[in-house]
Amino acid sequence: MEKRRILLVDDERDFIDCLAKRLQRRGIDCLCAYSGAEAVCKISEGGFDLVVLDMLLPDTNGNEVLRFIKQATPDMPVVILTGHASAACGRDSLDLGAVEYLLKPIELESLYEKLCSLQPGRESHNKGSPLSGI
Amino acid sequence: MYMATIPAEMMEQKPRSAYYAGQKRLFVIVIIIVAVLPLVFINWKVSRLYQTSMMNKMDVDLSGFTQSRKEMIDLFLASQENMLASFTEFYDLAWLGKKENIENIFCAVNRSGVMTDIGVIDAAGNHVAYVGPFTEKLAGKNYASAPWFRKVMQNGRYVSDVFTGYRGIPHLVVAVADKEKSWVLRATINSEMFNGLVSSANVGPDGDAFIISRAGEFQTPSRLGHQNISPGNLAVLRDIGAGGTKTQRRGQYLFSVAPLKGDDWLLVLKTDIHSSLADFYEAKNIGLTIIFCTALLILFVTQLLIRSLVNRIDHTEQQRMVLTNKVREVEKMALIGRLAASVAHEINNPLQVISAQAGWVDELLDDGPEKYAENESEYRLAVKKIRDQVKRAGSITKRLLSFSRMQEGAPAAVDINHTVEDSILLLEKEAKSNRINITRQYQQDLPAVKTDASQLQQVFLNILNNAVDAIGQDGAIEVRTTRRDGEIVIEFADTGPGIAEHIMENIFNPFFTTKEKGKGTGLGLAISSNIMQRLRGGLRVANRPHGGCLFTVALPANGQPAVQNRPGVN
Repeated sequence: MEKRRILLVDDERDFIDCLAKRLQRRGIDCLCAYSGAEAVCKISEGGFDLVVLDMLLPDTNGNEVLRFIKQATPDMPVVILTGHASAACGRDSLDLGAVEYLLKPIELESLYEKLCSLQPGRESHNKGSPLSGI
Repeated sequence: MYMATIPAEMMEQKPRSAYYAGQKRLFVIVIIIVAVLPLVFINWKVSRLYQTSMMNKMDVDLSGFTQSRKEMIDLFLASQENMLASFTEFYDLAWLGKKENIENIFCAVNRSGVMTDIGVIDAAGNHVAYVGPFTEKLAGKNYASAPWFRKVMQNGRYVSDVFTGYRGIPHLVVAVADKEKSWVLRATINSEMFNGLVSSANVGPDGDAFIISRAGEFQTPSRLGHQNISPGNLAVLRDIGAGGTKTQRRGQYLFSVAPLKGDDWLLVLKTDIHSSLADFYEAKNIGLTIIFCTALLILFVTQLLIRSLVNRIDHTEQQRMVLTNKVREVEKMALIGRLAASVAHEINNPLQVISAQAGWVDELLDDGPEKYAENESEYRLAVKKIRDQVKRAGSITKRLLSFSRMQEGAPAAVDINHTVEDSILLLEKEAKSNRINITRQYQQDLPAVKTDASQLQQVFLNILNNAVDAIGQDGAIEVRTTRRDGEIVIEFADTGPGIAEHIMENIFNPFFTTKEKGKGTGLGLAISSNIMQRLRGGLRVANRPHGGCLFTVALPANGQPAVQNRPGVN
């Protein structure tokens, strides 16, 4: 099965760099974006099955990026992973189409399970198949 | 520019007991002014009027009395003179010189005892005949050299001053010569009767009445027993009596003086005003005593009422302060609640990094001992990152604890820049994600201020939180600290919509909020202003000329009150 490609958006480099390394060991191809602008850029280039998105970014907030993703690729599953524990913000994200609103800190295994359970959003992928082979 | 004012807070700056003692004093003064002073004034005024009218009456009475006495005495002396004159006309020396004749006449005219004796003296001054009690002393005496005899031989009629003469007893004589001045009929006036004309004058208990000659000799005895009169006093009496009956007040006495016997004598009536007004003074004292007692009663009752009232107010105020303190703490917790999302972010992120790095080390260890050496640099890097994040999380919890401390700590020297920066750090991440840029301009050499950092931070966080809420997205907050006119001034300028003029005056009122329901308690700014008053500083707000608003927090640099009441809009 084709390798999944995930975009990790967070300004905590020490976290997503490490996360990327660990997910890669589990067979997921990860790309990191450290700001909203960088994320938008990378999403525009396309080729992702899933986006893991932080809420508080140095140049914008996660919901703005989410809004852009949903406009560009409406089917793209977006998981919000943030330390910002705001119920209102979480509601907004789910309204905008996020599939999950996860609160930091989260163990990698739990995150990995979530990611595996999600349907990939890329057109080229076979819909319905789980993230397998990782 | 609007200033927050919560008057009750003034009491916290001043010891409450002193404040209430001041209030009590004020009440008592007001009661004295309103209730007691009018009583005293009325009593004083009535007394004055009454005293003046009493004085005028005494003046008129004494004057009239003196005048009537003068007329009576003048008439008495004139009638004695006239009687003697008529005898000199009807009889001659030969007839009157006979003892039985003069005795008959004396008995006939002296039934009332006005005269002590009567005598007939010839032109040479020889005592020809005498009827009276001093026969032995006066028989055969010659009066040629007596002053009264010379006067009567010269003028035809004469009333003498009091003198001692041959009889050795003070007396006064009335003498009349016949037409040819060839003999003289002389009568001695009964001193007791004459003195009675004067001493019976009604001059009050301590008053005096007497007749005095121009030379200062008492013609009738002073009721008060005076024997002599000083030349000064005599001059005064002469002065008063010059030109007719007159009355004059001198010191505590009222003098009425009338000239008698031509101008030879002065009839003096003197009344002691104080003893004459004794009844009046007694009435006045009773009045004053009643007023004094009434005033005491009023003061006593007022004190009781005020004390009970003030105690109640004090009690209510204490309850209010307890509530205020509670509300302040609750609002602080609510503020932490409002900041919870940001705070959680600040803690959760380091935890997430720690978790990820630890997991990474775990995974590498799972690769087996043969890989340890190869992975050593990864381990070390992960451990370093974990340590960094622990430090980061530690600093945020410390910041949070110092802010949420429940007890009010004793004022300590506080670095204002540090406190402002701590507040900003709690919010900056969230602000940034909403593209709100927070810029700082700290004056570096600010003196430390003795104040409560926790409460100050509550104020800063409130203002910053409001600014972030007001801007929403895309904007800037400028934070500036400076020292100005003995104050340390912290300014928070935002690029939000500013505050509408019509709500400007309400923004410091409790429960006033423009935020949507559930987002704000409406207590943030009310409590912030309350805190700033407690810290003897001030909190002002104004709209900026080009949009947004400017909150200014001022603290006294030397512990003295800093911000004056300067309301108005910039």
